[in-house]
Amino acid sequence: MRPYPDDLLRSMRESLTTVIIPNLADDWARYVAKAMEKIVLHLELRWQHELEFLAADSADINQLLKELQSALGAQAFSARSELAEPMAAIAAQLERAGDLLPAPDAGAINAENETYRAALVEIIDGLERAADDLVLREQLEPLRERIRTYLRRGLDRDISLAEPTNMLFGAPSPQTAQEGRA
Amino acid sequence: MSELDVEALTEHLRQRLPERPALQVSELWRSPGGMSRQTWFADVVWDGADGPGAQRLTIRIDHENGSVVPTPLWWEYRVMKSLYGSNVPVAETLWYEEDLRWFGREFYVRDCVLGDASPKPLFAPGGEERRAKVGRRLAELLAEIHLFDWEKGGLPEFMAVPREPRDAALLELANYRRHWAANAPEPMPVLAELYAWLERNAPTHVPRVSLVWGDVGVGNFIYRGDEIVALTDWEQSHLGDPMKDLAAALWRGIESIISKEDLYSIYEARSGIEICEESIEYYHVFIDAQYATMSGSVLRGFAQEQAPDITFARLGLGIPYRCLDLGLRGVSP
Repeated sequence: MRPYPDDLLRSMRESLTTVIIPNLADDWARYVAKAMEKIVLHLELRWQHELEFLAADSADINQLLKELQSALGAQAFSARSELAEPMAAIAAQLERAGDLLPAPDAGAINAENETYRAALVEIIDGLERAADDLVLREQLEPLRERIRTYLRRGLDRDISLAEPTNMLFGAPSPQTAQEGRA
Repeated sequence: MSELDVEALTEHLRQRLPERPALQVSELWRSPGGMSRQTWFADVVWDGADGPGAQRLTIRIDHENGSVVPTPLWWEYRVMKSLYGSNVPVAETLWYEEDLRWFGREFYVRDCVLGDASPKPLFAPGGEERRAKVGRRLAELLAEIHLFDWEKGGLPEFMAVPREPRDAALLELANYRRHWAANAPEPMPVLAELYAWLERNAPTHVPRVSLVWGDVGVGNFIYRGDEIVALTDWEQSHLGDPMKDLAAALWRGIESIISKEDLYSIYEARSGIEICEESIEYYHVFIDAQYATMSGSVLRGFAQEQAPDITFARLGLGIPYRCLDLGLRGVSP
């Protein structure tokens, strides 16, 4: 769903920097807004890198645990009961971890989804052109209905993401009229 | 940052209005909200022969990323120029500036009609009678728009004229499809489905080819007391089916100031144009598709790796979902 979260965070930061902060007269409000500016940048970087860093970190620790396990299992330490606890922790984690999860590639997932949606747009347009033939139109209608069912399901799935920004175009309530409309 | 510069504006106005000595811009501010374009207000003062002069001007200019709607800025300027002095109240347009040296993009200047555009005063407690009067007047003005002699007004010089009834919808639909193709931030199958349905089901009966305002609703007219003194936001105007404006009015919640029944009866009595509910239903879906399309161009800046103002994200994300949802319910109940 474009714009992506990092696009939005960059835009929020831009608005804070160029519109809001220069126009805040109150010192405390400006102090708070500048803190927000930093946190927004932090969130932008977290969106870009956090999953990749977490996956890299897990792989790093995994490798470290294996090295420690090997070293602590060596002859010199094998008789030392004080090391039983860390050895057990290493063994338990390595057993629990199984295969390391790769970092999800949000860009690739979005790109793949866009190719699917682009294909569906082409299919809808193609079926519509084909429906100039009335016989064909009737035969294709169940497939068109199947597509519309999918479209409805997709919209129903997205509502939770869309709801916070939904804009009002219907009749205003007294409250929304006071807040202003699009 | 898309601010207009006071110094540049002052210099521009001094060149345009040499008969106003020592002209100064005493205040310049941007109207909040608005999706299609930026609207700015400038209070100007000068030393007149009979004492100090003052005027409030309105400046309309595209966003830095360009037009969100499929019409260029000069389109609304020419429509308002054509309407000025007719039964349709609009602000007087003063000049259109093509020189990019002032603000890096074209703009035009018009006289500012004083009054309110915000719904806030209209919906203040105790304003029922005022709302009702404004609602009735809006219904009458819709009739006046649709009776406007657009041929005499010179609109065919730049507007496509529908020759067949279906063209009243299809010409405008083609504009929006082109606009979407040029600005789509991502593939949208629901919108493709709406376009397909709209093309297939364009009304075959159009009561008359009229000037269509396009974006009818509270917020898009200026009122003083209980009188509507100017209609604004002509960027979606075109020649087509008057039922589209009725649909737009309902779509944007006009029933908060006038009931649908009163809207229809006042409109029919004044215009002599018969309401066609089926066409109005069609145009509800049309407007859903239209707004979803425009939200794509609102988001264009993000796709270009820029950082548009966050209000673009608010508009671009806030509008399409609801439009697609309502539109799909319209074509596939």
